Amino acid sequence: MILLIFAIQIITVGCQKPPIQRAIGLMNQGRWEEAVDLLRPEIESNPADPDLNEVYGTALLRNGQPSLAVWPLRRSYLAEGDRSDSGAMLAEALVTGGASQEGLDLVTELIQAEPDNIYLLSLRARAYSAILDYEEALADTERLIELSPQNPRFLEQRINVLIDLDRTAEASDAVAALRDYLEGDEGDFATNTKARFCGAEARFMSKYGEQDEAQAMFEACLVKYPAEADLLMPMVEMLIESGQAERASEVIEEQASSKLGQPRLRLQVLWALDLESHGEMERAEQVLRGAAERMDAPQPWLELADYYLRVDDMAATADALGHAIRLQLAGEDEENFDYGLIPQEGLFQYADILIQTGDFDRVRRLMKSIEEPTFVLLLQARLKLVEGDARGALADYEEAFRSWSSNAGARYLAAEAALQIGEFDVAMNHYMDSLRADADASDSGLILARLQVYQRLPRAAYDTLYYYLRNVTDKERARDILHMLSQLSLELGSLPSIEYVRDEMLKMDDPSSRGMAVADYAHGLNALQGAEAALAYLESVESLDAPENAQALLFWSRLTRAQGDAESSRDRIEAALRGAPESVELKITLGEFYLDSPETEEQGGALLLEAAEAAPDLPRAQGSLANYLSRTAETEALVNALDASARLDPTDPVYGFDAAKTLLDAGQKEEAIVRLGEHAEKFPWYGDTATQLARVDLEEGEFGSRTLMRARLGSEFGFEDPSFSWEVLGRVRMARGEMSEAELALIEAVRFGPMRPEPHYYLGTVFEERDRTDRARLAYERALEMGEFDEAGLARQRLDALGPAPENLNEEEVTQ
Amino acid sequence: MTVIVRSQMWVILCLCGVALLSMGCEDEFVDKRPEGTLQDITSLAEREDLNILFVVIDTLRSDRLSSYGYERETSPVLDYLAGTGVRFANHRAQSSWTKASMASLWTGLYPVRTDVLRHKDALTEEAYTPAEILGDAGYLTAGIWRNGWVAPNFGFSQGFDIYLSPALNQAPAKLRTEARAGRIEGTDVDLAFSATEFIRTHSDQRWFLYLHFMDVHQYISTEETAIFGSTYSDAYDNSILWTDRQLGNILRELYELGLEDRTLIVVVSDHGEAFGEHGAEGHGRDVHAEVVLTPFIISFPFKLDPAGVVQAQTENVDVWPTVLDMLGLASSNEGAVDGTSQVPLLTVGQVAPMQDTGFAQLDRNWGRIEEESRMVIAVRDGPLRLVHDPTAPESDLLYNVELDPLEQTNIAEIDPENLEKLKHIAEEHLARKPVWEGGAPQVEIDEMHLKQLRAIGYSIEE
Repeated sequence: MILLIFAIQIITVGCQKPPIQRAIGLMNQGRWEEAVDLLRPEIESNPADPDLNEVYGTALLRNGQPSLAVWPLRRSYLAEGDRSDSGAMLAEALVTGGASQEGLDLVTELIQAEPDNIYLLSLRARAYSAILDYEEALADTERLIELSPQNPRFLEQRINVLIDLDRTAEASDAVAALRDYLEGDEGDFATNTKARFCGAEARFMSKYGEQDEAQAMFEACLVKYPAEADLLMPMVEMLIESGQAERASEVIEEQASSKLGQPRLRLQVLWALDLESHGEMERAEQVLRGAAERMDAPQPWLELADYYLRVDDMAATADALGHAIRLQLAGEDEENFDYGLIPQEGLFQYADILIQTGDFDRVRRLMKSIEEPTFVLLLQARLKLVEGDARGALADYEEAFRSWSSNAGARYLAAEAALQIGEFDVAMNHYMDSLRADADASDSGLILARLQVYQRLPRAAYDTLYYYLRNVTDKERARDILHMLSQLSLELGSLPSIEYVRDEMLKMDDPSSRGMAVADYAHGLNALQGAEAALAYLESVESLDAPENAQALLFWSRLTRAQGDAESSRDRIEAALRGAPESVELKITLGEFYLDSPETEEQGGALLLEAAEAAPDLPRAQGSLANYLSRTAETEALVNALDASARLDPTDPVYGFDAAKTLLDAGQKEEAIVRLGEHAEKFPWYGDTATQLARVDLEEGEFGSRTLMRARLGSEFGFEDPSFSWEVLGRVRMARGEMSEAELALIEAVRFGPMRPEPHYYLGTVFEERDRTDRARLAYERALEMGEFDEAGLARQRLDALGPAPENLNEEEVTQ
Repeated sequence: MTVIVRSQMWVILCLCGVALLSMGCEDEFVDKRPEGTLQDITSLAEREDLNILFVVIDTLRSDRLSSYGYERETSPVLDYLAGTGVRFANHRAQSSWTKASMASLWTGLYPVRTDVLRHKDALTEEAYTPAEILGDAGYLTAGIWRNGWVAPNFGFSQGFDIYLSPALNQAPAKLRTEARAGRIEGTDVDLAFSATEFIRTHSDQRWFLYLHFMDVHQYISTEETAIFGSTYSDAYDNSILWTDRQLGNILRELYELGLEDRTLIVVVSDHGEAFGEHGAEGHGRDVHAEVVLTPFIISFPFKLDPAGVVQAQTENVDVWPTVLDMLGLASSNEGAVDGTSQVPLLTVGQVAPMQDTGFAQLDRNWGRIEEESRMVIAVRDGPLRLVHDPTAPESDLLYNVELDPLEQTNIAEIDPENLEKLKHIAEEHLARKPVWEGGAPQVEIDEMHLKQLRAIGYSIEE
């Protein structure tokens, strides 16, 4: 038996072909990977065999591994003998495997032997383009066209190379030649292909400066190929660039609403986007919804979903997405869907939107079909967050970040979860990491910088903003960052930083940024080098009286007045306004200047009111009016002005908070509480709101964990009145019977506001509670020394009850 | 004598294959290298069979490696190389931006002398690079890179027979991994597979292979290597472990082919990475410790037992003078090289005279074409290191890096005398001229290349 097995093995081995032959057999069947696996041990034991290298390299190349194939093919090619086959393959491996220059050198050598080889010439043209030598790429392409004049691929390649060379006129001719070819009898080409080249030709013409001819050509193309998006899009682009946005809209509407255009989704989308850009949101929605309902296919519903996502309507987004999915899967009832048929990424995004719409049951059903563990964790985390389990959410997020550390949006939400459970350092780290992951994805950078400002860490806030500035691409946001950087530079006393910010702002396109740059820099100079330096700078500004420099002019006037020249300071603003009577900015400047003096205050207020009415969308107008109204105790008008400011600058939490606080102070508690709650939802990191909510809770006898968390958030990030924030935390701790923590909080309250009587009083009660009567007595005495306050009567009663201090009391010991 | 010794920690090299992504090491390879001593370094120049594997791990700060004292086990493979070779414990790169740093690494010249400081600057063809030197000495030279700043158009391909940036998905489909962290496509798996194939098909030849890993820069890791936590700083550590494994995969092939006793392995980095230590995040913004303290490890074709640990201050400009000296080859850039060979230090304990000063430099406006230079330079003189901003010298920072290697305590106010002295050295250094007349050649960067560079996180203006 043993002998028989041995004999069979010998026969099997003896009959087997050499590996190289077997590999070739596999390769003939397209089984490249198996051939590679078969040959690998052979190469390891015989790396110098040129034939083996050639077959092995070919298998690698055809298996899609050119960066590996390079090495054996090169060995084979450099071996002695005729290696032209290896050469061509090596050239291909080099060009496609990431070594373009070497590929180019080789293919050039090979072309010398075969100057008309289309494959080699095509490869070389590609290599030339890869190393940016477009002239040579063009030469090869032209040779290819000579050799194969019927091949439209080479004609198109020539156009691309000409564009790379910026030879637009020739490219335009080439486009025309291609168009002629396409429209000729040589081939049966699709209408949209013909339309694309017709449009491309006109576009070249417009780039070359012949606007009228270009437009005429576009119109002619449009007649020939109506309702073709590939034609319409470059035409619209050209019209907008040449300042004919209205005509662009007209053309879009004509084409999209035509009988031929109605069933074409790209046109409908283009139309909707155009309407959106003009603020016609309702019509845009109608266009997309009409298209979706007419076409009854998944893609139009996805476009509609995209629209709803853009306008932040999550419920409608989810609805449209659901519709698209139903159509895609041709099912009637979503309950019975096999979600597993949808790609994981799409499923994840859909579920994420559903969470935002509150459709948690559907999300849970859908999650069963998600196999990717990171997606599951992220969805689970978001569900937990919205359902109030912040700790669980944070844990899931952190697990997900192990494999998807650069998910900026999830980092942002993880920071919110951490804030909710009082893990402030963790929250700040996640904001930082969100910023690092993608500065544009959220306003993490601004939030983090604000939190650092609230923590009195201006240097850290500066560094955060500087990083943010260098990484953000949104110019509008860059302006806000620079303005904040300017203020921080001032706080840090760094003139070079202030100069840097000024230079950056002066580079911005909009005049108001440049005006802000001048004003901010003057403020910096005044603070760091004195009024003389600031005035000298402002007087050197050529257009100080122009509307764009209104804020700088205001500062100049105030400085001038402070130096005793009230008359000329006022005269200059008045003259500037006379020169530009329509300028709201100058009107505001004069109004603010008038507000500084009691005798002109009323006049100033009237001007600010006028400005705010004239420019309801100008943040400065609403801000200045609110500032004025805050002096007049007109609650309703002030809240309206603050609401207007909040609407104009939705990322700044101050206005919303001030509006709620104004109502609270005016006794309109119910509305104030609703507003504070909404504000806390929108700005969960805003400490002053948290403090006010904790204060209201206390007043209503609540001091549970939610109140404690609010008070802690308030004390950590409270900015307006940190002493009050710490006092509220101390009182919450007292109410909870946590006297030791209460004492620490109230000591902080005293540290931030040593002249406020309330923290001393509450500290006294804590001391009393802890049987430290000497300290309590002293704290009450200090509170009462500072004048009247709400709890003063109670303080006196408690002090009386404690009786006089012992005669031998050492005050120093007590206060330690 | 500044070389101290430590016990060899491993005798068995344990490397994990690409397919073996679980944490446990499933393959063990016996290290067949003979035992050797530091004096054996002098015999390397006589060998004609020696390969050189030169590994640059982009963005790798040395204090995150276990062998450099980090408490986390981020780098078993690198630690093994250091544990059987020589580790330079106080080593710095010449810049915190890849292109400037790599130009200095290859030429042994400080950035002010290569003049490669801004994003259009290229390394001049007049430079005589190690690849050229080794090519002239008969080595087959190959480079596999994934960072756009060392692309051929910037002059970094000179001397290489093949200089290749691997295409995507070079690993067999079953072994590919999806890495969500990276902003550029592909991972170092592509590089590792290409490198392994190179070694496999050239095991009978004498070669110099330069590998430029990129995944630490990109914070790439997988489920199996993401073991240190979830912050960005943790993710950075995870990616070091991931990259260490990729290097392990390459070494596994080297060992399987029995090439370990005829391969000199050198590991360095171009710069480190900041996590807010001095206000900045990432790199390419200043020249503080966290962005310039990088590893320098040499593994010989023999095992050192005990391993060597060099405490002297060294820099990337010293790397190639040292390696070429070991090979008996002269480095030459018009006779001027700023770096010095560390071979005398290793073999006879002799500290090079130039060694007590060092420089790192960055033009903070390197990516802003329209703007003037905004230099920041660090000067180390003995134990002191000054970070000097010529435009705002009042904010200069001085540290005692012997006592405070991570530069936590600014002593500028308490040591004004040395502050002035180092400022003077800095200004003198900045006034030095480039070695090559006309400075660095300028190259145009096309939109595609700009996009690639932006994709890896660089902010570059058009």
